[in-house]
Amino acid sequence: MESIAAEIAFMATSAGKAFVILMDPMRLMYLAAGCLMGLVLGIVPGIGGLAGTAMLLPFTFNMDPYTAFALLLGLGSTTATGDPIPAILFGVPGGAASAATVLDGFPMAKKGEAGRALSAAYMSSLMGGIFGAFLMAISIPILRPVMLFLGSPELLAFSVLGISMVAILSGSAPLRGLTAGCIGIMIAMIGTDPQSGTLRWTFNSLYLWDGLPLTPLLLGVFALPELCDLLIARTAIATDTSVGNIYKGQWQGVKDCFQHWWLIMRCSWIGGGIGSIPGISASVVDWLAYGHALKTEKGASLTFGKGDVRGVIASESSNNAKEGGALVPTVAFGVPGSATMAILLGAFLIHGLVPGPDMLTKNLDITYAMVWSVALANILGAGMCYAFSPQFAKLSVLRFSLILPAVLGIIYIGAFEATRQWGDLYSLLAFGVIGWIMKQFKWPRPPLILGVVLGDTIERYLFISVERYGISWLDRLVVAILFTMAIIGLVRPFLQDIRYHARDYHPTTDAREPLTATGTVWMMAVVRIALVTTIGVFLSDLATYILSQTAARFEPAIAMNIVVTCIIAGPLLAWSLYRRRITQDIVMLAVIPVALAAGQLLTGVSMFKAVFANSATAVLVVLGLAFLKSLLVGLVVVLWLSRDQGARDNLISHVNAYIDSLWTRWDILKVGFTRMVTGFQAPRFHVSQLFTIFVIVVLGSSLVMALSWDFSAKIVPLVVGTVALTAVGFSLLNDMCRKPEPALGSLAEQAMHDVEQRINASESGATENVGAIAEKKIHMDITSDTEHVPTDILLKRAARFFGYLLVFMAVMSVIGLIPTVGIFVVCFMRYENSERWPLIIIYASVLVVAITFVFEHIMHIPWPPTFMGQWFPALKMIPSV
Amino acid sequence: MQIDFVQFLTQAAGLVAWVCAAAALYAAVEKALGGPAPTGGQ
Repeated sequence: MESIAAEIAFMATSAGKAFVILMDPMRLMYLAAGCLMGLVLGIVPGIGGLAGTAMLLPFTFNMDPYTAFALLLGLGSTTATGDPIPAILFGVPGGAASAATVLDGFPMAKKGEAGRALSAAYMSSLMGGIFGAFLMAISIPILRPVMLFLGSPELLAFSVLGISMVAILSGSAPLRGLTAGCIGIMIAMIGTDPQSGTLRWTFNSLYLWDGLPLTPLLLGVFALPELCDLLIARTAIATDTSVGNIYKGQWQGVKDCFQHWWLIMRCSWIGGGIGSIPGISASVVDWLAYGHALKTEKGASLTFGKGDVRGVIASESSNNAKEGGALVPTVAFGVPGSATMAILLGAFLIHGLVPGPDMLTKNLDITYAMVWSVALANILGAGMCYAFSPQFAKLSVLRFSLILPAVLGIIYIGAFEATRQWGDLYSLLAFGVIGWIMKQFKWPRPPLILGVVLGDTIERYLFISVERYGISWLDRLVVAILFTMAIIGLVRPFLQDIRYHARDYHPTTDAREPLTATGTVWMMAVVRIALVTTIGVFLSDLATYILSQTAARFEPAIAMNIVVTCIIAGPLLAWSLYRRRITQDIVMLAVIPVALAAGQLLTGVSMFKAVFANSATAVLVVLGLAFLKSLLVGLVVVLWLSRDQGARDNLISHVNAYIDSLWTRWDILKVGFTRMVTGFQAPRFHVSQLFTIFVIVVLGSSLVMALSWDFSAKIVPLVVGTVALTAVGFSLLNDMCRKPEPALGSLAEQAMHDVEQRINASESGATENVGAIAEKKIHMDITSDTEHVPTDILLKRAARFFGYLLVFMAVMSVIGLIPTVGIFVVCFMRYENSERWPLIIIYASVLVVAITFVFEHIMHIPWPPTFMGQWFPALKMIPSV
Repeated sequence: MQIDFVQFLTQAAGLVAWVCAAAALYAAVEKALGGPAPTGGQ
């Protein structure tokens, strides 16, 4: 009891300390700045919270961790608050997380209820966000005791599980995701190997000795492709600026939220829970919550999709709760719940913090500061939205020619902050091109980043584990469980694919004669009952073991074991017998304890003694013993059941049905597998395969280079590289030779499809709604913002974008960054969109002066050396020369 | 936070002049080539 009290006191102190630290006016200012940026980035077309976090990251280098996380989380938590503004007013979501808000928000706006919808969206965002923070706050005390048992092997297993889940879940192409994740790990290996000093993939470049810095890579992969697509698509997300009176009905929206507080709780729970599972991206959460509301709310099928405020509430509360949920695995296990969290994990490493047990002990106040940041950011964000809705709404009609120049300048400065060498800018450009190609060809990008962030950690943990435990670390219980989960995760898409191939195959079961009362049936019946009982018996053994370690034990041990078994396994067995209608006999309730006791009496024999240890083998042995004991239980139960004619028939038919279902499943797998293996054709070619082949070549040559390294330096790269090569090889084979079939969609698409079907089902029959449904489908499809552009124009514009970047860098190397920004803005705005001169001059002047003020005078950023500065040192008084 | 406002204002004035000069140059070239570039693909 005393220790619990001490624990609570310690945590309360940390939470209080964190709050006091965060209340510092400077930190609050940064938090508010982060919120404002999050809102703006959430609303401005093209740039989401992901690119925003990546852009801010380099500017937090000089801050203390509290301030840095206040700024980053302020931004991360509020992008989903600003999102609904364009979604409701213009019917186009500002980001992936509010796509479902459109369904009800836009019709409400059309009915003149925009104010109510917006207000409900802000309020539910606020409540959802606070729920997320609360979820994180209560996870900490629960996770703390668990964390103490985690060593390097467990953290390694968590990292591997995290990468495999992100790779599998983040897109519709698991093989490509896996490849991207492995490539990320390999990128993290670049540089001097800490074990042996081997130079890995440094290509004689001094820049690569310390490894590839994270920020240029992040900005290249997540920010540049978004900007490039902005230039390609050239459209603001909305063109109509008349928004009407959006203050009307605000009070009603707040009341709606309090009226539907239980819906908010449920959807926030969905958001937080899903958010904490690594790999399930933001775009799924709102659809799942919306789908949940559609299924459970009264009368939802009639009103949802036509302007029901509950639809807005469901989707908005879930997407804000996600952030708090995603922080839990990030902080506790170092496994980011989302791509934004992967960037945040980068911030951890930059600030010298190691995610994992330390964050819940030594650095607990930083963790609580994060909780407070998320909660405060949500309050501030909602407040700002209430105050400035009309102004924010105007942001969503900004033209690309106004967004791009400013953002590009900041990206250059941010990338250069990484190591302050020109190499940063080259890698920014290189990863920009790669990122854009990945986006175009639908390669998932988050696994790549996750691999880069976790690569070093994985290698370090692996060496520590092997050094400390030899090979036996694989046998540790948590490690074994996590690795099993990772393997299941990797195999699952494969099984899904097999089943998908057999989707139109309906096996005939009546071909088999039903079994009659023979020995086989009785044997099957015993096994079937034993299978049901095993779990209960195993849990009982575990409970007995735990009890025997505490003061609560009583002697003799075997009696305690039997009592515990009757309490845990008894109801389980009885429930399954009654539910399946095998028997309705009340005497059964007496027979079950007798059978269980008979089974557990075996525990008295030393061979059957359950010995638990932190070892997967030991637990498997106990599980096996539990099954053996359960066989005895099954025998007793079957013997009893066979006395009665009715029960006997029931049992036989149940066993028959069981065999049938096993048989059918096996049949489906067999047919699906056959079809999968045989469903090939002559190869067809597509441009996207060129990129796949490029990846194969790069991977292959990297592996060959790695062969000559020290054993300790090459082991991880070789293993990871081989996995990547295998995965990408299969991916290419599938791409080229599989018969074209409608592919199995990603999780987001499945959730979206589910909602679509339900809404359409409720509307079917009404012909005037066909138009509305078609319109809705267009809005649901927000992943492709450049697909309407013909390929030749697309390529031309992309080439122009990266051409701009090259010229920008060339000019910058001569005259310095700030003067280049001035010229660039003038040329870009005039050439690309023929803006009027007064606007151009004002915009360019304000931008260069602002950049000078913020980065030169406040942040004192050192600029890249320039030729002008070298030739004419006197010119160094011009900023950035 | 020490901000040298005199230096900053000089720099700002210089940069605005620089932007105006760039704009004037661009406008001159544009005129010589005949009118602004067509707005692409709106």
